[in-house]
Amino acid sequence: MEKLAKDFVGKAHFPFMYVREAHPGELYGAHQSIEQKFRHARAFREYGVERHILVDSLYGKIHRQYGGVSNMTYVLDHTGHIAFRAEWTVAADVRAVLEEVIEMHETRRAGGRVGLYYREILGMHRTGSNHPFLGGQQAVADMQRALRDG
Amino acid sequence: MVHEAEGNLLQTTDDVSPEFLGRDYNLIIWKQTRAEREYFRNEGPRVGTLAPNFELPSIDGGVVSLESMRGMPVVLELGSMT
Repeated sequence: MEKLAKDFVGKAHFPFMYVREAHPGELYGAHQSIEQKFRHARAFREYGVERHILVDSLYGKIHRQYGGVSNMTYVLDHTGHIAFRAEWTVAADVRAVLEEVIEMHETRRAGGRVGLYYREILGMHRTGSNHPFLGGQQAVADMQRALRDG
Repeated sequence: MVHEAEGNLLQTTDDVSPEFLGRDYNLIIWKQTRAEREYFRNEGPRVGTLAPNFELPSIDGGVVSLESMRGMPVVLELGSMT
């Protein structure tokens, strides 16, 4: 997503909203205070996240409002309407939608007409990745247990 | 230091349902999240609707609103370190 944000500098906003830890562990555990949540949020800079990082409330007021899953993305058009939403973030999907949103806007500005259609798609992501490792060994064990128990 | 405008960031969860988004919001351990995904699919803001506005503090200081980003597309990712 960082590369995508750089590719669209000046063409789109890319806020990142920090919410609850999805796979808490001894390194990044469950949030106990808003100060701790801010400390965790600031650590994203160490991992190369340069986007604008916003911090949700301790109990996830906005996260809950947007559906509450662990790693979701919304793409909004120029007027703030939702053009795309996904419960899992895949940069290639977002790029395709963003290009379409921009093209639609430019077409309209040039006096062209566009028709809209609704679509749904079921995506795939691989399970058992090492992503939760940032939380620590507890997070890895939690995922292995969940995968084993189904 | 937490910005003064974050006063509502510590709100309680008494009025929240379902349970996985309520008192247990800050997960101690990771769990399977089928209920979460169903909630997102059925209850989350839908394509074609106006995205709910928010005002949230930035780690760089200040408070940012979604409305302030109008005029350009917005890619809003919600996620965590883990």
